[in-house]
Amino acid sequence: MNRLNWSQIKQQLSDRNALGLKLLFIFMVIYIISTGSDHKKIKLFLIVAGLFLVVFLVKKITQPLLWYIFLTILISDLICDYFVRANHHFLLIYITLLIIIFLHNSKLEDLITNIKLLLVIVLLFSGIQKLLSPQFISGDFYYYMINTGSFFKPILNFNQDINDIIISNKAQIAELGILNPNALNTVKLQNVIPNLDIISRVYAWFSIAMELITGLLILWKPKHLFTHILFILLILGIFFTRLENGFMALLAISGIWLTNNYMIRAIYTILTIVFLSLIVTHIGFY
Amino acid sequence: MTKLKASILKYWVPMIALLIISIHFILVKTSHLNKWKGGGFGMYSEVHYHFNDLVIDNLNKPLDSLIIEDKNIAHFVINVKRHPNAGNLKKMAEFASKYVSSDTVTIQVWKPVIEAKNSTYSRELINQYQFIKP
Repeated sequence: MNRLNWSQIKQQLSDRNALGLKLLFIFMVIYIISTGSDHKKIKLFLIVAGLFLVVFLVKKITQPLLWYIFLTILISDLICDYFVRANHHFLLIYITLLIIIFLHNSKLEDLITNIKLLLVIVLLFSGIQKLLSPQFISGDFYYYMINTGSFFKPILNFNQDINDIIISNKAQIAELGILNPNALNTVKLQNVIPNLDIISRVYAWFSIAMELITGLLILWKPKHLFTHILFILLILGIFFTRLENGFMALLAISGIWLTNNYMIRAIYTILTIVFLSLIVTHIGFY
Repeated sequence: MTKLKASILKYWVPMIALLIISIHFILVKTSHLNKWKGGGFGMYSEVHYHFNDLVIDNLNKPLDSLIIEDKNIAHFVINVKRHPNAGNLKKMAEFASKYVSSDTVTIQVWKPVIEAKNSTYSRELINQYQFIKP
């Protein structure tokens, strides 16, 4: 058995396309198995058939037929439950389409440019959607999520006093939920930390700025080290706020295609492995 | 013209993404689709539709019990909270009509309204529908 050494790892990291495809392949299998209870049997049958195809017949993940199977599963899921599917399900379909095109024409530059454009679209529209939401820019959204324990779970739930406040706030909201809303009742929430209204507003504007700046930097300087440091910080920011593992893994995998830096590719790879492990262990979301 | 055609052929996937986002914006604006869904990347821009409240007037038993008893209602509750357009509200009213004692079924979807400045939580009506039993 070969011992794992740096030159071997470096060799793996040197081919961004092979690395990206491998991670995307693993992501796809985990995502399809994890998602949705609807039509699970046919989905699992197709994915197992696809895996057998890879292992025994073609022995490589660059076989377009395999990606057509993935695409069929993803699109049929979308057709059946268009409004149920998460935003990264759409992103995954777009990336799968790009992979299929690449496997037919072998134009790596086109693949990279298209992945860049997709990331720009995702980040800019995430920012624009927040900017257009009065509930978000006022800080009210973060205020609610933090005071009800939906954000920063591992950090906030560690403190018993904070935990008690969260339980009390949730109980108050649940009690209001029983009443007819036409009576227009209001409940008063307790803050888990002082000045949470101001902190929430500042954090809201910081989130918007991060998404818009990172999106514009990926468009303008997609290979620059600073762009990728900011992108990694954005991914880590989402990680500490809420475990959106599927979305974060897909962002990290996309980042691999854009950078020439080995260390940055290694970070994206490690992040992807962490996020995929969290999906498999049902910690957070897929 | 040839250059445009070449660009379309090269970048049609991101263009489809932009088209889907445009459809999302139209649905949010015209039919109360929640921003979290529909491929518009509006997740985390407002409170999740899971926290919306569905109210059906004059039910002869609590909605929670109906969700346990009636598969149609159980399956459709989240659809109505996510996308409370007239069509979905009407469909839900039809499912619920046999459990409503009056001749008309009034159905409403409310969303949470939070004011961080005053530390308050209240609710605001998104959409409502009145269904007259046949």
